[in-house]
Amino acid sequence: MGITQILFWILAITAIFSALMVVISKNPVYSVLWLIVTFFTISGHYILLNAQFLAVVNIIVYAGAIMVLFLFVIMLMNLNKETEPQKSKWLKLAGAVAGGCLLLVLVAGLRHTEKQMTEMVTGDIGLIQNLGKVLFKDYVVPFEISSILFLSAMVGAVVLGKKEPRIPVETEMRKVEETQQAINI
Amino acid sequence: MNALIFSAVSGVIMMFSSFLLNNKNSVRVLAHVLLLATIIANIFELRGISFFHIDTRGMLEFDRFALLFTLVANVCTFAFFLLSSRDLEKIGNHYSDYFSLLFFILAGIVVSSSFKSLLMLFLGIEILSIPLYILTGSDKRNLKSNEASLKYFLMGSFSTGLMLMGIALIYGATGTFQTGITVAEKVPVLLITGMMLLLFSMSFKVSAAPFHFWTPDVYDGAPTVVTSFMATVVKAAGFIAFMRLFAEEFGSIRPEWKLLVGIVAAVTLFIGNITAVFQQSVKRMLAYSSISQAGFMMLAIYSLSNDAKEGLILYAAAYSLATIGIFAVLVRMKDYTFEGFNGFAKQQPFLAGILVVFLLSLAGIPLTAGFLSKFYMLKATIDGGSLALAIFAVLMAAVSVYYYFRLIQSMYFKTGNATISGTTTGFKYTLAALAGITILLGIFPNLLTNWLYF
Amino acid sequence: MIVLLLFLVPLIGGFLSFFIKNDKTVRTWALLTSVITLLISIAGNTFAHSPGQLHFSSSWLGSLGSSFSLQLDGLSQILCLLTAISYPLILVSTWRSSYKTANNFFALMLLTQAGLMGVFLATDALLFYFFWELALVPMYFLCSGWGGERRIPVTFKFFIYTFTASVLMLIGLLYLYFQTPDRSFSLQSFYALKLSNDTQSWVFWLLFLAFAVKMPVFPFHTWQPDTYEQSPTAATMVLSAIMVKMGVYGVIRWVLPVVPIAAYSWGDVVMSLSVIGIIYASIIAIQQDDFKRLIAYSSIAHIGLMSATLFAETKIGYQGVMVQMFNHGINILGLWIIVELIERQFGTRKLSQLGGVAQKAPALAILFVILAFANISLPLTNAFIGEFLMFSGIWSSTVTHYNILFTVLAILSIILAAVYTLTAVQKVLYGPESSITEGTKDIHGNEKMVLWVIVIMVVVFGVYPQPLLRITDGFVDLLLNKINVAHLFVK
Repeated sequence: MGITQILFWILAITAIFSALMVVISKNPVYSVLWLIVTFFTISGHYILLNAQFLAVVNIIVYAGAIMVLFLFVIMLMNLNKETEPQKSKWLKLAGAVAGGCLLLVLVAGLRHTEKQMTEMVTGDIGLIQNLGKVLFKDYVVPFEISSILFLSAMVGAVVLGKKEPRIPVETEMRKVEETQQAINI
Repeated sequence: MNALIFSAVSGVIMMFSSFLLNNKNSVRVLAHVLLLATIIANIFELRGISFFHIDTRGMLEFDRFALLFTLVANVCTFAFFLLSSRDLEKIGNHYSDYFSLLFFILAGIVVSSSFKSLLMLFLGIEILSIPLYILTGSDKRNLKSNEASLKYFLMGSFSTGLMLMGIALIYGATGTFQTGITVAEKVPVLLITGMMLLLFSMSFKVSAAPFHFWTPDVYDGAPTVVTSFMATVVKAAGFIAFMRLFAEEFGSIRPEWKLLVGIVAAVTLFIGNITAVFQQSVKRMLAYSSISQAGFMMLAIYSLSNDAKEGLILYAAAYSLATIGIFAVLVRMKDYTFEGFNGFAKQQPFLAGILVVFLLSLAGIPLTAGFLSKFYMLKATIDGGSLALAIFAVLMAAVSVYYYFRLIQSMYFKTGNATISGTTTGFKYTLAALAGITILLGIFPNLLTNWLYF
Repeated sequence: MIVLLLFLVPLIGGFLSFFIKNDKTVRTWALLTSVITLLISIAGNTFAHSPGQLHFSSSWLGSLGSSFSLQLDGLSQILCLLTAISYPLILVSTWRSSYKTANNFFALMLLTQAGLMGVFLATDALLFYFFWELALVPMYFLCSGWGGERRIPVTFKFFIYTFTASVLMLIGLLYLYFQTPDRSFSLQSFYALKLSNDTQSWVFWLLFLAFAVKMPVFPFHTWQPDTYEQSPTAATMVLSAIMVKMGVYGVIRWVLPVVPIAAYSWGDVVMSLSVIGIIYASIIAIQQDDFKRLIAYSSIAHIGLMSATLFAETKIGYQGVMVQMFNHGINILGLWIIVELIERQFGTRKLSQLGGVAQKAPALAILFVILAFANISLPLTNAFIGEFLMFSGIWSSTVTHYNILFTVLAILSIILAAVYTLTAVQKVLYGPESSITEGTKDIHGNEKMVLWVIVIMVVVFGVYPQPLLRITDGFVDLLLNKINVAHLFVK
């Protein structure tokens, strides 16, 4: 067992453990922190695959920016153990059974998978130079098209986030009452 | 490619129009003009004239099937604009942004109907979904709209996750994102697992049972105008992508999934129709009817023949036109329940007559496009070897008559005072034109399907 | 050309009627259209019978293997004639009924006629299905829009019944389409099919179910009395005089020659059901107090006899069916007119509340009695010819072992018919006057004229049925050639 393999096993076990902890933790803040650990382990996997650029980006974007946002939101909304919604026992059981079934099927199916996996010809695709070349030569069309995706997400953020001009309190109250009634029905 | 670039650019233009144009009318006119330009550009490409020559490295292929569907989707969207663009105004203050999002959706439709690479499929489906999450929640002060948006977003993201997982597994098995794989005698397990995951996530996107649970709530909660668009054009686009994926990528391993798709189709038909029977609100009824129609469209994927392709295009057109028409009237109604339509025929005989055409088309009565599209599906299914599924499907179609005719009964044979507002002459003529197209396609489907070949 | 006109005239006339707002004008227009259709139909039966006139074919939906082809042969002739004759009679006899939005009513009536004509003329399976629904949908609107109190659920039941059965028929037709070597929906290709026995069996049931519901044969009849009762009289007339014949026609045209072996092997079952239906409906008819329901059940019994004869597979029987299809249509039309007159005058259809009408309304009484005799199929009435031929047909049938049993049971229907019909006659016309019938007035005008026309037809075809027999003679021979499979089973 070489050093790479040992590292792989350590990272893999940590990744699964921390991912489980994200789900299991009662306190949302802990969940987010465990999520950061998960991202780090995944970055570790990227490094093992010789994809330094992805590893760095993963840490900067996810562990850095997005997780900080998550934490902010959780803290601003003051979420903690007490506010966690209580689900019924049966619902949890049903979820566990369904998820377990999926796991079982996937494991049972993939257990018999062929040993020989398709590999890249060379292992240096993850280096920043090669990645750039591939991205801007072979994959330039999807790269450009994904700009539409981001553009629409930006427009959406504006639509949802921009403050509405004030409307008279009475109309608003009536609207709220109406929707509440509608939901009760 | 024409349509893709035109619609993407139109989206950007609409985005800027919000501060360049102050007048809402001019925004609306601009949107119509841009969409018309997109349609014309697409027709040019269908006739072999492409304005742009971009090497997509085989990731997109604008074949006739894709182009024709793009045309159908664009024309249906145009009808939607003509009928409902004024109602879009009532949702909120970001009028031009809504148009911009709609154009981005159209771009997504082009991508997801002409992909040749799983990467493109993913991008297309995402471009199509994300603006919809936003539009669903665009009625910000309405709790139901917020709830629907969040629900749609969470469920949608989850299914996208499944899709990515599937694509990753397929990549693992084949080493490529390109579709059109050939498999040796023994099908790799990874490929089958990936195929299953893709089947699930696509079923989710087109709301096939048992992945349909989000549909009624989201369709009900979203602003009615938006529902009208997402239940028709977007759903049809989902089916085209579904069809393309399973015809090209998994066509060679058909025995592995045929039974499963057949079961999904049957369950969808069953659940959609049976639950629709019990609805009291027309909007919810239409949501469930969209599920049941999805069951019929699943038959096309089940059989994957030429008939199925023609039929799916025809189905997309027939179903979208009819549903858009009904929604356009529904938006203007005061009361969305069946009772709200009581006595409608007396007050609006013209509109009621047109609604009857749409409802007959949805129910699949001959002389309407709805019948022929169902007929194509049944033909393809029997050709594909499953008579039992076809029989089950027509029995479910007979059930669907129950709830479509309930609306007809309300309009014609019950007394009440249905209230509708804001029906202009132009609105009526547009609806009449849609009804005319529905009947025309019901008598001469070749007008549409011939485009696939000539 | 004639065939195309037969279908186009009511279709176009119907569409135009939607736009005629004036009540009087639209009635006249509808009557005019139906008279023109009648003239065309008569022309098709007499002088204009060159093949060019009686066939029409044009390409339509070529990619689906379907074409727009119509043909007027012996079977179509008699049914088109029935349709064409019935419509003016119906329109004249209901001239005084008032309808809200009359233009829609008459437009739908004419559209139904177009659909019926199409059904009787189409020689392409897909086209046949189109027309089948085209006849059904306007009828649904007619019955739901202008019917009685419980019209909405009742008509809906009728619609769902027939629609469900008809989509199953569509599947059957589609399946047959895939069996044809040239992938075609044409009748000729269907006739040329040689299917295995098992396949024939279930194709038979898919197709037969649609027709059985329409006729209606015994267990599928539950929609019928309610619908007849609740529909506006004009629509009831169309339903019972013409529309039920769609079922009989469908069996003759699309079932027997296409799946002859199944028709042979399931013949006993269908005949048993039919005979059960005859007895069952007759017994129920005896107990009815509502005049409309009485006639509805009597109609089930009459149709039951036809469907039993269809599976006896004898020449004389088929001729009886053809003649009786026509005669039953005419007779029941007359009966409905009587019912309509009584209901309009007294405001009730309850037999127990009526009585003593004969003294004050002798003309009505005479006409009613003659029609009642026709309903019992007494000799010298037209129904006697048809039913006698049918009884002989069942009796002489070689395809069933129970021919004598079936005949005896079927003949019971005449006795039972005598019971319920004469009871009705007695209760309405004779006995003491009730409070309702005190101010009885005799009939006059349109109704009288129509009833006399019908009665004259009853008597003329009762004495001299040759014209009807001649029309169908050639067709019956051809039919027997196609369906005669009994020799395959003789050991």
